[in-house]
Amino acid sequence: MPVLAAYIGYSGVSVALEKQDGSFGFQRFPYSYSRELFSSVCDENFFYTQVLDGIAKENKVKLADFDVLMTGIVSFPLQDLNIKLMADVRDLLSKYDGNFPVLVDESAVMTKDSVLSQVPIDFVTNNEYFANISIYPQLITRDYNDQVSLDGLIIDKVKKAGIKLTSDKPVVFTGDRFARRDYETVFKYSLALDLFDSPGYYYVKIDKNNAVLLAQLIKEYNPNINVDTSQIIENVGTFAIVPGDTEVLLSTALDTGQFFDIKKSSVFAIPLDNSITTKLSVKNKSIGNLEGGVVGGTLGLLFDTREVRTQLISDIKIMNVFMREIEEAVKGI
Amino acid sequence: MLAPIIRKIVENKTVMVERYLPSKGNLFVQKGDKLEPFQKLGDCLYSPNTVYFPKEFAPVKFLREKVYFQKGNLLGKLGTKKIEAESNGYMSFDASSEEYFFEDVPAKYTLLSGLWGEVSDVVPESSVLIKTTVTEIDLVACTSNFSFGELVVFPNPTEILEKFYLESFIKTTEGKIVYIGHHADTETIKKAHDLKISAIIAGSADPTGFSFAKSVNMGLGVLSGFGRLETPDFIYKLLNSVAYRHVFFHGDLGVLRIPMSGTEEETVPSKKKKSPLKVIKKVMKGQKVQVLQKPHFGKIGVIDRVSVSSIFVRFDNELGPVEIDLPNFYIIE
Repeated sequence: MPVLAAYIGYSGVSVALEKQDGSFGFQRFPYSYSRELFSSVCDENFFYTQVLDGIAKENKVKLADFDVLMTGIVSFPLQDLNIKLMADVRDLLSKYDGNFPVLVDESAVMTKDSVLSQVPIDFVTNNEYFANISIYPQLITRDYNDQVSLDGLIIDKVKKAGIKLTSDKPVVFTGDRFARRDYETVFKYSLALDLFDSPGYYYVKIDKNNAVLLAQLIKEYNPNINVDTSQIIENVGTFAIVPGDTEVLLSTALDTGQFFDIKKSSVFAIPLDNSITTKLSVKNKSIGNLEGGVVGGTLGLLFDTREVRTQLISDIKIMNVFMREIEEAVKGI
Repeated sequence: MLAPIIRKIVENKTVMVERYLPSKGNLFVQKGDKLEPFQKLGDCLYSPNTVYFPKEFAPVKFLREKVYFQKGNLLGKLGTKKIEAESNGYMSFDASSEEYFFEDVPAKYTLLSGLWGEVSDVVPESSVLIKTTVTEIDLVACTSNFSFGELVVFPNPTEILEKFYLESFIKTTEGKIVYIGHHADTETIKKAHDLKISAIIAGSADPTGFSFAKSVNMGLGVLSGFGRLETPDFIYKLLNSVAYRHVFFHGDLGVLRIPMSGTEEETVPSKKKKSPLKVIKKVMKGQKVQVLQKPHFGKIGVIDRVSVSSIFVRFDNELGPVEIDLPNFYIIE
């Protein structure tokens, strides 16, 4: 039987559905069960059964014709779904190879090897937007200040946990915060950048479909099924966290090289493709000199020379420059 | 595009309601009896106010028996402070807690049915279980209290009028459930608490007012969310049509239960009742939706057209349709 894998997250349901040719289609239902709204009508079991039924119907197939696999924030029985495999999120993250997964949503931040914070944000504060998220968890905002506050809470949680995010492998950000559609796509990049605290070079990917979890869930069920996520997970590029004034020389086999002098307290993006490795030479007082190869991505190569790492989007001046840089970086590829 | 359906009003639900005496007494009904709202179920003798004094309290005289005191008589001293009887009543000594307490002279308490229905069970001298039909209004956020009382419905007034209405009801609001208008600010919630209103219902509330209501164990239910949001018109019409009826505020279930008579005009056509419950639906032109996006947050409109990741909604008093992002809306039925 073909497979339908689902991840029930904080603000929605992500699904990988096997097609007739054996490939997988990724979809998202951007709503989750809200006790405040639905408890007088139905429970979680009824709601999520209808969600998966609805997704199957949209794809002109029947849910009963699939092996249903499930993971996510599930602390309730799902007796109406004939689930073949129910897996724990932490277990799936720990078994995921290749990249270093970091799951981020409003209730938890988890990495491949640790849970950074699992204290849900207390939404009933004086902030009306937060208070409304406690009722309508899927809300997306067009208000810049609300976005700053919401992402600020996630960053604070990670920083208060006192664990620094570092990895030699590419870091792939997943979870419902990255699956949520933002009014400005730049918010995801700035949040990813702010989650790093230690100086260093990191290759960053963003998973907007919770494909990391879904692919691992399918692999757990049947190791012979290979889910290709290369087109689904976005290669964002290399983040260079280099506090202070920095000199950069970039060169490929085809050109003579470009020199950049990046002042401290700035965020600077250089358009760079991920198809070719570019030679990089960096001079920086705080983390030393570096020579090596680098690949880019959607954003290319991003230098962050801030010495005090406050929330990027809360600093309007630097954020305006960052947004312009990103626009140019994306156009430049 | 799929979206959840929320039912603000769930009509004609059969439920069991327990009506009980505050202390042991006489019940006048038996299993199978048909009931009307003003029918007497039973009565008992009951002291509405009992005050326990701290251990440091020194009574005017050592007593182990119940002693009668008239209003204004000296009961004892708490340090240097004289404590007088606030009403006619009895002072006694509770041997288990070793504390003195004062209770009002017991008065006759009459328990009314408050609803239409049939007696399903009777616990002698204590309570009556009634099978009844109710309409439930969904409260998207509410404190977890339970209370019941006469429903007082204010018009959807301005702030100035809100306070005027509250104050003009000063002698009659105690124990009542009051629909206060589109918005309940913190000041109004505090005022309602001072007036011993058992629960208030509003279109929206301040998050700080909500926290206050929680802290003082007062019933508060909101219909649309937090901020300055309006009550949907069809809910207001329903509330208005059942003003002065005995209603049940179920904070634990997130609903306001309104007993219904089951007469023809209050009964939903049987065809509607039999249709299977759906909580997810394909988003289509002409559907009624509640919008959760500023500046239309909480408003109800009709879908004009459906785009890939947004919908266009027409509101009353608006010239053209307004674009609303998925998932910032719910289908309303």
